[in-house]
Amino acid sequence: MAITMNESDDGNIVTVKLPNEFDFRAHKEFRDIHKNPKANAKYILDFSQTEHMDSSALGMLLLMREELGNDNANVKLINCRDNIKSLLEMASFHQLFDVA
Amino acid sequence: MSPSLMSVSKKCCEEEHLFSADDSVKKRALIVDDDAVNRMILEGMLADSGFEVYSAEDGQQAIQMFVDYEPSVILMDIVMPVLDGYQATEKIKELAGERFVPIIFLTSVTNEDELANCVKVGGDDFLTKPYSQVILMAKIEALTRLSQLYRTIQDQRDEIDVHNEHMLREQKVAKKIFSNVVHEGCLDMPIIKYMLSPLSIFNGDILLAARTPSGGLNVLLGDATGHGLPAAIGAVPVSDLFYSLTENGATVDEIVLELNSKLKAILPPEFFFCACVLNISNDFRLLTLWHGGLPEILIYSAQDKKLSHVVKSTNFPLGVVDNKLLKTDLHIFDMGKGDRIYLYSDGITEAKNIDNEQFTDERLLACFNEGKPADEMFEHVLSRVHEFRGEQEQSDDLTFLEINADVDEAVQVIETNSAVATLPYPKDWGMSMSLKKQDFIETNPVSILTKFATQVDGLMQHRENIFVILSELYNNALDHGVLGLDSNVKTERDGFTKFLMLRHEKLLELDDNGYINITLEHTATSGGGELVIHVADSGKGFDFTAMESDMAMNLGFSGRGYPLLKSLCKNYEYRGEGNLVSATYEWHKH
Repeated sequence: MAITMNESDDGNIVTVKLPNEFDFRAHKEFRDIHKNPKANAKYILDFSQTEHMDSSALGMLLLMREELGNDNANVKLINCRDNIKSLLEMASFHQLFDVA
Repeated sequence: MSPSLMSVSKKCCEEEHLFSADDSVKKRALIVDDDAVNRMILEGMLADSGFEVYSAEDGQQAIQMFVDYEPSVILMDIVMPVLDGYQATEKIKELAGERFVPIIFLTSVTNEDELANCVKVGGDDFLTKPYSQVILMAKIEALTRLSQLYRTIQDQRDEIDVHNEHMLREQKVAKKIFSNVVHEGCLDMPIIKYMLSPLSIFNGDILLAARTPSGGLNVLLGDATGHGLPAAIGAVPVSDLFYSLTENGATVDEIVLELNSKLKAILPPEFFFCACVLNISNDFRLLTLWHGGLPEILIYSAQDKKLSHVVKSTNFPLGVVDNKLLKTDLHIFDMGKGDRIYLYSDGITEAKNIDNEQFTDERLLACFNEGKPADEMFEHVLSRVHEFRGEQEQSDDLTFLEINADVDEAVQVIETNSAVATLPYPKDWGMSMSLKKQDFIETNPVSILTKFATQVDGLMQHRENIFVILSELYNNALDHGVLGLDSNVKTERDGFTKFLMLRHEKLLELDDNGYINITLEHTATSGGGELVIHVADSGKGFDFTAMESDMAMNLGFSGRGYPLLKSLCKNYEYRGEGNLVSATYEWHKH
């Protein structure tokens, strides 16, 4: 399943719908989303379709955070299932990202 | 009449470029016909098109000339003496093997079955007489193009084969080098059971074990993001650092910080290492562990025949954040004889069955409640994973480790470990250290003090004990004294995480009046010595008499590591308002 992206009218909020299996296969597509980051834009990653995620997906999230300026990155993870949440917590990623 | 070279065209015709993709080699055509007139017409035509032309009068000659001259295209009559066109074609195709040599039948036969047979025996095309010169040359051109394409593909395949073979050879050598660097250390100790199953030639999981200078054991399990070459490259410095730091007597938190800063510096942002680093003291009683990003670590109580602790990760994996953001909170456990520690990578919990379901933590934890004896637990868990997975292919690296805290076994192996040489050192000494807010945030006094104190000849063997006592005393003074945190928070669900967050907040809020003073005094005795540790903090103290009586009545009060400290130390007492504590550790040379 492909990754889809929507921008708000003013371009300040980018919503990204992640695939059912968020893993290394999504690497290129996910990368394209934040390759030319908009300054000060808020990124919302929607996990509502995502049932599984692997550690390379965690790596992709880190890469995104780095490219959006690390501590200045404004990335929110929404609609995470319990297994996704616990994977994020296992790696303490809830301290790097806003997880809901 | 012997086969003869009828004509070798020297002139270069205009269409030649059509047939000479490779300019250096002239295309050769073989004409097979028993009729001399037919042969002559074709010879002229092909020579005009730039072919080197050979002619055979029957199938038998054709086979011989095919072998001798290796033509790139063959024009074949069907009805001939000695050997007909069908048989000759079958034989030539067989001799050509993998090479593609187009054969075009030129025949006066019009029967459909006969024509179909041309293709059946291996012919590539046919043309009925009388044929048009233009059509024949066009067919030759098309088939020549096809044979060039065929050869290109074959060449590429051969090239890939050569590369592949070369790569496998290189990987083999690299694997040899890799396994020399990332060696298994002392994983062959009888108290350790483990399984490592590499998904590719290199493994994304690494498992390292080494004896500490004091005879204890350090173990590292790491799971790199991804697997294969990038993961393996990251494993090299991890292994190198782990072994050299262990040899130098570094404590668990020092190892963690060194590894983290190295990996943060060398790995690209999307790569990191989930890891657990643990130390077991030389009497195999004290377990100190740091846990960053691996699945829950399990501790099984031999006495209660069930899991006594499930340790969740509360830290970042290695290589994600800078050292100043990395927490080195250690978990310390008092192990009973025969208790077991289980470490594993997510390959176990994420093993999938035929329905694409994962094995999950729940199924793993359930394995420990099936009443199996501790001796068989390791094999039992693995067989459950295999049963679950069935015929499914392994999709991730699978690593599983058991360490048995068997005291008798541990004592036997201590002898093999020689203590590091130490410089002459005063036998009777004292030191004190005063710590304030910035020190609490930035330094790790426990490792420094442990290192300092255990320089005394012989005390090195007690290093893990000293480290644990100092850790417990320092953390008590900081958490419950200076910061005034309630340890009951830890017993709630996800309490440890909550506790750490609270602690972080309180640390930042702290004013300059908060302090911890630590004093060490050492006195030599015959064959050993006595180390007295005094810790005073700025907290308001607590009702230690109530705690002591709870303990005496065995009410199960477990705060402040009291039972552990009480059992490790010859003397352990609170004084003042409960904000002063003294611990006396008595030791003997092994």
